[in-house]
Amino acid sequence: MEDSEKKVFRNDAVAKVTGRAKYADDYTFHGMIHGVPVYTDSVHAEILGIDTAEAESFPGVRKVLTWKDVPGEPAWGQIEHDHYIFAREKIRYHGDVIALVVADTRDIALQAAALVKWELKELEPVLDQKTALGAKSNLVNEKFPGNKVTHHHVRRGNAEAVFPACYKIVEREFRTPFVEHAYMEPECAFANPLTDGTIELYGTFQHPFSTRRYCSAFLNRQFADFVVYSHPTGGSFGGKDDTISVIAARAALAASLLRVPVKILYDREWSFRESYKRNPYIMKYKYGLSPEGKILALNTYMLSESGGITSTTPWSTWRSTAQCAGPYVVDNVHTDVIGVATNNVFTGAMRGFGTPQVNFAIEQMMDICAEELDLDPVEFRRINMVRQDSITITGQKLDSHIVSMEEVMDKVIARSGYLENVKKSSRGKSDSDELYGTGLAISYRGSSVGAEGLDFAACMVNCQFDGSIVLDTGIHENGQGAQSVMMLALAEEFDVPLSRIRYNRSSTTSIPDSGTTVATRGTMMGVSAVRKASAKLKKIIRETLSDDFRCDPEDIRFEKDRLVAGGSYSLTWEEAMHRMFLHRTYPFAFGEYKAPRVSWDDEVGAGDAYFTYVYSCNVVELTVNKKTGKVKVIKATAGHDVGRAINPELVKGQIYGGIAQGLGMALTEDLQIEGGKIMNPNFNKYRIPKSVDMPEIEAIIIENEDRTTPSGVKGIGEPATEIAAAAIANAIYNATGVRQFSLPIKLEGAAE
Amino acid sequence: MLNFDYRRPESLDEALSLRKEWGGKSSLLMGGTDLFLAIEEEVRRPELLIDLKKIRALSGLEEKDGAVHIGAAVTYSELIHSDLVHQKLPGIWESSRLVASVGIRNSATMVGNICNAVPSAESATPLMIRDAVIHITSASGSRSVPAVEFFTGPRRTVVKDDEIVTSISVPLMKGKFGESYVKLGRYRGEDIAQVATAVLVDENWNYRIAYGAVGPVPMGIPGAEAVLKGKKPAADLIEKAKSEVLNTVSPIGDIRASKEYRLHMCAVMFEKAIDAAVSRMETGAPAYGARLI
Repeated sequence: MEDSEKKVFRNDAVAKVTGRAKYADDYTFHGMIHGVPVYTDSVHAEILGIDTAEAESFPGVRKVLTWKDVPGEPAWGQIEHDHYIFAREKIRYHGDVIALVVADTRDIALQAAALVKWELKELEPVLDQKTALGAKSNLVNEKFPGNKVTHHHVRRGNAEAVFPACYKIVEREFRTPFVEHAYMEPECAFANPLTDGTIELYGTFQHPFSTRRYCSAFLNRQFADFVVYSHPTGGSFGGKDDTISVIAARAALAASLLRVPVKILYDREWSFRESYKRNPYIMKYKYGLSPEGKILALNTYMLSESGGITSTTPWSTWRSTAQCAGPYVVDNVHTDVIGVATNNVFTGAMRGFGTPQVNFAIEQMMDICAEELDLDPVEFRRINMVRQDSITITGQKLDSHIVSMEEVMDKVIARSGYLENVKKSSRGKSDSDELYGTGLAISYRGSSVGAEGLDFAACMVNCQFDGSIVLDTGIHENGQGAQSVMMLALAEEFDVPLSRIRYNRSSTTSIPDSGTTVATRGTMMGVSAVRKASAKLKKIIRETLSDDFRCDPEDIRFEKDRLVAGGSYSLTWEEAMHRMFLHRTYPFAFGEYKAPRVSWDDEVGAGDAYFTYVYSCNVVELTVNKKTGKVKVIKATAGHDVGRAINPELVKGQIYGGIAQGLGMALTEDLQIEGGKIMNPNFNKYRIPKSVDMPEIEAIIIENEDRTTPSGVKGIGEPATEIAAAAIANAIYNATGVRQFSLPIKLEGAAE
Repeated sequence: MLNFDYRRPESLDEALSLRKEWGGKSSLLMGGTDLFLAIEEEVRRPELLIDLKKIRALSGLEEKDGAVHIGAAVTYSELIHSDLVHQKLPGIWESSRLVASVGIRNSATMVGNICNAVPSAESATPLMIRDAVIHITSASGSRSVPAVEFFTGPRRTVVKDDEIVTSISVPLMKGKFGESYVKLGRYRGEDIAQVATAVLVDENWNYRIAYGAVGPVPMGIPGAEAVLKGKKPAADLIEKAKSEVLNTVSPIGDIRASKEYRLHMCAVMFEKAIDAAVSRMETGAPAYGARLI
């Protein structure tokens, strides 16, 4: 592979730039009909009856589906089975769907949806985490006494015994809000029934296999009865799992009952209403410090709002638990993280998955503690940060990989000029209207899903006898460039040009389930599987062609699009593939990669949580206008040890996007919920940052090739966004001299 | 889903007779950037859309008889790219550049903006301070209404159901003058104003001051104008004028800003707007279009 090819590569770039890429709603089938969801206006109620008669008799309506039509499980979910395909006994949040109107056209379905009637017994909405937790009656779901959906803890050393002896105790409470994923493509799914009884599904899915599990459960059909296709997805950020899977299952159910293709297309406001958000947190942090600046003890207590459905709250809160102390060594830790059900919109996976919240608290606490001790905040971090062979708060020895926390922090500090700039910070005083501040935050992040799940991935490399290559992995492309990265890795393995390789449009029946594209695992797991398959394939090719070369199989090398050995004899790649044909041997290999062992003991709250960690540092510079209270982020410097950057420009792209998402969470995105209803369910009132709101960003890629997987990769998706809000909050303190304890940060009220 | 008829007349007369026939059941379409949202959200439920884009008589932008005439079809992008507007109506030029985004400005018109008549309407205050006149026609005749009298309530104007606004004329200034339009949005990116302030000052120290988004309609502040009249602004006068502003405006709290913040910013922006207008008259700086807040 030429170096020039490696600089920027996207196999889908031209299609996306020219608008030819086909997203879910671009697919259409002959005879396709349309489904539209029906919501009540309640957030908490008993359902006494649903009357679909009038809607069903509306001309053009084919069927109105409710819970009565569901042949399988009434409710499903990734962990708890409490996500109803159609609300049955109760409404638990404003996005609960009671029926699906299926009609010849979307317009007819929309009109008929207004004719569905229901009878409800309204219940008191449960809207506040603190009062919800421990409630004896009026529960969101009887499954969860006291509205508690999950509880994780860490008990290390004896924090309570250590606190009294500490030189200083610093205690604060922080809050973070609901955050919308704001993927460009709203939910769309459609199902096409085939004559043999299988059902094809197209849609905006982040994990086609997850969609298949939901469909299988609700329809009471086996996995192989569904073919869920991969095709371009307009963003996900963790948000295209539960909700879209349930929507897909509704389409599949309608298609199987009516035996015609059924499409369901969401508008943005339904998407805001029904889809899950980032979990809001209420976090109490208490640190016990020595006079020299050592953290002696940490006590944290957090509530994480799950809303009306459990979804992945038990997993994201586990990550918050395992990473509750940030990248610091603390010998005495007492942590409780509790997931709480309410009647607000439900929460689930979103880029960062439980860490942007805790990092907002931890990294401000680091600055606060340093100030209390009259220490430099960078030095304070240095004293406490994890280093090679450190033991984490969960008892894990960091010896599997290079612990580069200090290297990453120092590189970002040097490049950003943080040490000089922090001295210029205004701390509330300036001659002009503008206050200047810079802020720093660091993190370590366990790569992949860790002890929350089973981690393995598959790849097929199918060389053709003319020399072209078809590549397939089970890692789904969400728009981030996953396919391109696998192709680059494969081209690198065989040293062939990228032009030889085509990425197969996979489906759930063409390749085994390789886990979802979440948890910063896509590149690491996918490329590891590519490497496994490549090793197998090299062995097959070498053994088959060693007679032609008259050498030992191991002596054959893959170089510059050729096969060479010691002597003068060599084959072009095409010739080699043709020889494989003459030998009647398929140049095909299936590779599977199983991630290293991880562990967690929920009783003690300890274990080897993740097999490797990404180390990150963000420095942000901003100004605050004293008179208007407006914040302008002017520069962000972000450094991440990604292990190995296979497609460096895309790594930078992830970093830029991560800062944008963190900036939104910190400053502009403000989901307004009143009585459990979202009041700003569209982008005119829910503001994600626009290009002019964005700062200059300097992305620093740090590469300490990872030893734990064959890929050498550690990933970048989530580290890129998990400390931006924390760094912004620290910068705002340095600018204004006022601490910010909740997000989004609003300074308008403080304008002078 | 709303259904409506659609007509695209080629002459003003034809449009006026449709307007007469359909009255309040009709909506006028020019840029469509506000109208289509209003239809989608069912704020408006027209039975007939009268598309005015084919009427050539509405597309003029010219200087004539001591005024600049802006036809109903003139888009914000046309205004921004017009040297005439830049030189003669610098406040209107400055405010036009702050309307939404390029895509919207390519389609949206100034007449549409004032007819939509939201309290934050970008062009309302710059027109009011220049004593602009709105020309309104119906099948039975024409009339002209000063911009200050044009707005009657949120999303309401003096335009009757059988009428069409055909143009706006803005009288040219004699002698030296300075203008400023200060817009406060939540973010740097496109946003509707939280508060907007427009100021005009001339060489005889006559002032015109107007505020948007801080009351049911865009409003002039005659009290403040009177305080400053004939004088170069000094700190004590500014303070007095500022209190006139705060006594006149009546902002509400909503998703974009609290009432308290709006009041606070009315005062902050008053100073910025006066400063900029006076400085522009005296020194030519800051340039029109420079960021004032």
